[in-house]
Parts: sequence; structure tokens; C-alpha cells
Amino acid sequence: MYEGRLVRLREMRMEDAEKYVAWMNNRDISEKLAGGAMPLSLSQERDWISRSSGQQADACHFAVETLEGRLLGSCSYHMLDWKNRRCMVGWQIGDPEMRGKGYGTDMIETLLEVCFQVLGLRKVSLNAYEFNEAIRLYERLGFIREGAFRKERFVRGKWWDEYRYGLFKTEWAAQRGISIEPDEV
Amino acid sequence: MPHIHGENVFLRDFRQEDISGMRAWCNDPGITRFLGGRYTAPIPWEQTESELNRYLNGDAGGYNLVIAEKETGKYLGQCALFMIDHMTRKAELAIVLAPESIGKGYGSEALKLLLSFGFGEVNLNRIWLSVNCNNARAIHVYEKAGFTREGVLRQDRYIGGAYEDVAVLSILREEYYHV
Repeated sequence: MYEGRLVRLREMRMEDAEKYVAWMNNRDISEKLAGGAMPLSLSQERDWISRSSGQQADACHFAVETLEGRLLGSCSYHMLDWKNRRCMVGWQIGDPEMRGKGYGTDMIETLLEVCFQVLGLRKVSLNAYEFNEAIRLYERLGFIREGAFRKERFVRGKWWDEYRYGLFKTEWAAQRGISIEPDEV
Repeated sequence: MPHIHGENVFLRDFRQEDISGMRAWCNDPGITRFLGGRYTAPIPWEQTESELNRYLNGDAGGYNLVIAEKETGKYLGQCALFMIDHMTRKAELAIVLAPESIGKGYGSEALKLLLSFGFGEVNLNRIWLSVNCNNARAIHVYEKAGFTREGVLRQDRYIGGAYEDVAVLSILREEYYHV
């Protein structure tokens, strides 16, 4: 539905479930996500898709595919807070073959465009554990580290900080040379 | 939600005992002739009760508030921001007063409080309403509060044997804060 240069954000489909289950049961992926590492069954995943597909009151979960239609991951905005005009965002590039090729960057840019230009939000935030190498990408995309929740997560025998990153629409627009209406009072 | 305090009235949550206040206007043609729609038929007690229950349970949608007398908390009328469109940051506004509360400035004050809540707390960009063109008293109150008449829906309601025009009025955030 929303197209970037390389990827498309579309609705989740029941037939996506098998791939998601394979990715979510890959420890390298799941340990970086909020739920943490645990076995996930196909029926749990189908249940999740039927509950979470489409627009929800405070969230939207997208499947992410290449422009040719190859499913490679998922992303979402959630904890949508209309009064304060902000949300949280999250994602995964589940398909290991599709990493390091610019799909992740394009997925995030496309999702940010939705958050700022479709939903009209003022601020987008994300949480990332300190061992997540994607942090470098978030900083390159303009996210500012606002703080750290100390030793929040136990992974592979160690405690890790969870960082909070934030990006304002004004910052996003200035960095990308996009002209926006001045934020009102 | 915290109460919103003005000089002579405050806006508060609905309470069980507000049913008598709600009944005081809902079948009064002097009031309901401007409301049209479902108010053209007499409203049974049970319908008012189930409406009140929706407010009490918080599942009526939007923000529904009682206009209450400052000293006693007595029900004077009610107001609402509804049809809330968060992405566009707009809502429709409605106010109704019980017959004995009319003409005392309560409506103007409640409107002022509701606008400050809508722009200052709900963070809206546009608040709009529709009102019968021949309801001059109401239109005067809205225009005094900063609303602009932005259009007329011609012969939009059929009331008392005749078509009546309906005006659409709105106030924008920039107007509210800069006028």
C-alpha cells in the first residue's frame, strides 16, 4: 500500500504466517524484539495475524515486501497517542538474505513518511537494546538517543541497557529537505 | 477527567442523578425543535436512562460533559465534543441547556470552557457545529466565542411544516489562540 524506493508496506495476510514463524523462532531476530526469545507456534502466529491485521485503535502492523512482492519482514506503529501526537515504531527484516541491502533503511523511511505525513504525528520514538547493531542505522536516520533504561534485558547471559530514541517531525523534515507547515502553538 | 472550572459554571462527569436534569429538556419542544432527528418523537424515560448509562460507562464516544452550577454542582445542561477525527484533529461540538438555565450566560461560559478543553487538552485543530439559521440566539453566542459561519446547508431540516436552512460554523486553532 505504501511504497518506498525498494519496499512496500502492505496488510498482513494469513499466508504470511509460515515465514513469520520461522523468523520469530530465529534467536538472532527475536532477542532484539520486545517479546524476547521464545518458541512461537504457527497457530499462535495465525491468531496474532487475525487479531492484528489492519488498522487498530492505537496501532497498525504492516507486512513488508520488495516491490516485486517478496516478503522480507514487518513493521508497525503502535501506542499511537493522538492527544500528544506521537507513537512508537518497530520492525524486523526477518529474511537473513535481505539484510544489508538497504531494505531496512527504506522500510524505516517509508514508515516515517506514514507517521509524519499521513498521520500527522509530531514525534516518533523507538526502543532498542544496546547490543542491537541497528542502533547505528537509527542514528544515521536522525533518531536522537534520549536516555537509557539501565540493565532492562537479560540476553545470552548478560544484562543490557534499553535505549530510547526519538525523532521529531521538524528534525526529520529538515534532514531530508522536506518542507512542512510550521508546527502550531 | 478533572472538572473544568469557570466563574459561574463548571464542566463535570455525568452522575446517576443527572437523569432528572436530562428529562427536563428532552421532550420540551422549545428546546428540541432545534435538535430535530430523534427528538421529533417523544423520548421515553428508558432511552434517557440508557443514554446516561453510556456516559457513565464511558462508551458514548467523544467527550460528554455536564454543565453544572458552580456552587451546587446541579445539572444545568450538557455539552459534548463528538465525531472526533483524530488524524484531522477535528470534532463536532454540541451544547444543550435545560429551559430554566437559558438566558443566564451559562451557555456562553460552557462554550468557552469546552473550547479551552478542546484546543488546550484534546489538542484539536478544528471545532465545528451546525445550527438552525433561525436560532439567532445560539448563532450570536457562537460568533461571540469566535466561530465563523462557513456555509449554509439550504433547506436541510424539515421542522414544523417548513424547511429550514442550517448554518455550519467553525473555529480553528490558530483563530482560537491568536484572536
